[in-house]
Amino acid sequence: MTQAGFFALVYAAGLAFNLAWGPRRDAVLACALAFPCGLTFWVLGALLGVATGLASAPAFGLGTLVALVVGSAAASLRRACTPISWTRVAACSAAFVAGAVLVSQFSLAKFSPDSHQFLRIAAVFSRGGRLGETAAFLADRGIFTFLSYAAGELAGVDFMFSLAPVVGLSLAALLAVAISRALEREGVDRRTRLLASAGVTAAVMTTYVIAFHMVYIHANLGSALYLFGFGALFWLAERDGDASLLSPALVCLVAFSIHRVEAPVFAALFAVLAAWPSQLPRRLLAAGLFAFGAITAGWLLLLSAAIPSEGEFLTPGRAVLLSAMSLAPLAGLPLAARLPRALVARHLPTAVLVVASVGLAVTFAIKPHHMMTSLEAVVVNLLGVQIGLFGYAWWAALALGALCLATPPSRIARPLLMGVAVSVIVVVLLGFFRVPYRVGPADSAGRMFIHFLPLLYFLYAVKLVPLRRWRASAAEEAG
Amino acid sequence: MRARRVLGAALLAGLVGLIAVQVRELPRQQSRGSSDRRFTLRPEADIESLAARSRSDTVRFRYGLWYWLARQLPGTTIRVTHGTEPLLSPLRGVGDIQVLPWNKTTSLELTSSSSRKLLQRATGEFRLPEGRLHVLVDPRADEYVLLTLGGAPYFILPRDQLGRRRR
Repeated sequence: MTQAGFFALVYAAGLAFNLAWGPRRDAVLACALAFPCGLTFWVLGALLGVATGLASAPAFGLGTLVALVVGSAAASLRRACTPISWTRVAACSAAFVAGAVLVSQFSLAKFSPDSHQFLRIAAVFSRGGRLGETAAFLADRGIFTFLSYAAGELAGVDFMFSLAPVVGLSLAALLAVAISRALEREGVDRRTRLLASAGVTAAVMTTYVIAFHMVYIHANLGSALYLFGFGALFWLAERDGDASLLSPALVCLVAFSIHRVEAPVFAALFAVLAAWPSQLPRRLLAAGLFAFGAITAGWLLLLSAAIPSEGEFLTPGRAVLLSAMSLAPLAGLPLAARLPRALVARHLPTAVLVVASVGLAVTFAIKPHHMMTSLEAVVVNLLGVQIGLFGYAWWAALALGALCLATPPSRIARPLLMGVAVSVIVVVLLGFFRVPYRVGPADSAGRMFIHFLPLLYFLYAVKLVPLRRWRASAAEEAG
Repeated sequence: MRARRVLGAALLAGLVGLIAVQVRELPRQQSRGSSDRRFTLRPEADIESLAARSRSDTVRFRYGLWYWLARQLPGTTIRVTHGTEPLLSPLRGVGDIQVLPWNKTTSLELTSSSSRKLLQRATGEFRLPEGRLHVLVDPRADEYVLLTLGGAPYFILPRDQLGRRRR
């Protein structure tokens, strides 16, 4: 097998999943979700191999992809009454394969010491490595990137040098399609939709740090892809009550939560803000949150027994705490269901913001110098144009955020926007538990802000582009 | 209606301006900093040569060496003394090399605690981000051993098979 062949297999499995249990009626969206979902199933299969030790990670990953294709095809046959636009599927799939083949011809990969660590541990897993021999590394980094790069031997290459570009192209495709679909649901005309989706996608993807991560071997662009996938799909599902988008949305949430050691905090935060006030069927939400909680908490508990007791990042105690956090969205769902939805929707985001702000204030009171050093580094990394990470991207985000405050509040976008705002606070807060953040491209907090930028720009687009609806929305709110 | 049009035009102009600035800034951003930030297109994907050519000292001195070492010593077990493991830990997962703790049954001629004497007998050295790694060939040794004496790291080889890369 070649790299491009592996990407095509992952894409085929993800496409089969989406046509069976995802947006079957929207072939273009199903294709845009195919690679991200397929890669998640590869990783989850490989994770099962690592956790059980019954076979190597690639063997389990490959088995999972094949089982997914067969199972999804069988499920699709049972749902044959829903038509699929095979012409669009063929066109989008051909575009994906052409892109994958093209980027597999060259090595564009960029490295840092972290990248080499990812590749070495991926190599250990690809040769049948077990949890015990890699646990010390897993206390510092999420398992997703290790396992996604563990396909190198299977693909017959020294390392998966084209995975990062394919992840980047998937993000660009999903961003463009999701913005277009969201604006379509908001009644925006076709020309404006095309202009807005192309413009916003270009604005996100030309941000230096994001363009760089399209060739740089690390975990941040994947995190951005999956957090965006969850947020955008949840927005689309909630907008029209389309429950078929819940399955890929929750697949994205699971993928995001195992990308980095602190990711379960953010995953749980977004799950709570999106699911508790949701008008989607509670039973489906509960099933999705159960799957998210079971996978994330199960993995963290397993990890807590294997990792060293002392460490700067993940320790056994912290792993147990994070596993409890992963179960919180499911545990709180029955309580949220008993309260009036409007009450939850209105007050939950504010309550979460207040709790996070109080937590941040406490950390500043305990370690003022440490936290100020971290905060200054975060501000410089985000807004310092000369630092060369985000350029003007966060300046533009702040300006657009201020403009959003002038628009009528949106029931669906508000919790997600608040999720990004609270995440910013949580990133600074997490600096309390480690050495202070530092100015420069290698800083962890600076790279974490990559995760939120695509989702933030998507939410701005769906709030600001349908300008002609502002007055109508204002009238609805007043009514 | 007019105000909304003006706002729409302003948003569009801002978006186009942002994209234009970011595209123009890309080449300038790459040249900043000391790490590998320049986009380059290479026809090959050999991780060893990529690491050896890296602009980052840490990548070049540490990983460039370990990838090369793994190719030079396939199927080797390297024993490490307590405290030396972090130095060699980047080798984990590189090629067919095992890194295990030193069981101290290995016979070494070089058991002197005087690092100066060892330094004089070193046949070569490698550059690492942490400093110099001195190489000693001990024909009576049974295994490859990495140890630290007097704060300086030494790599003991039972026979010289590391070619000309040492410097």
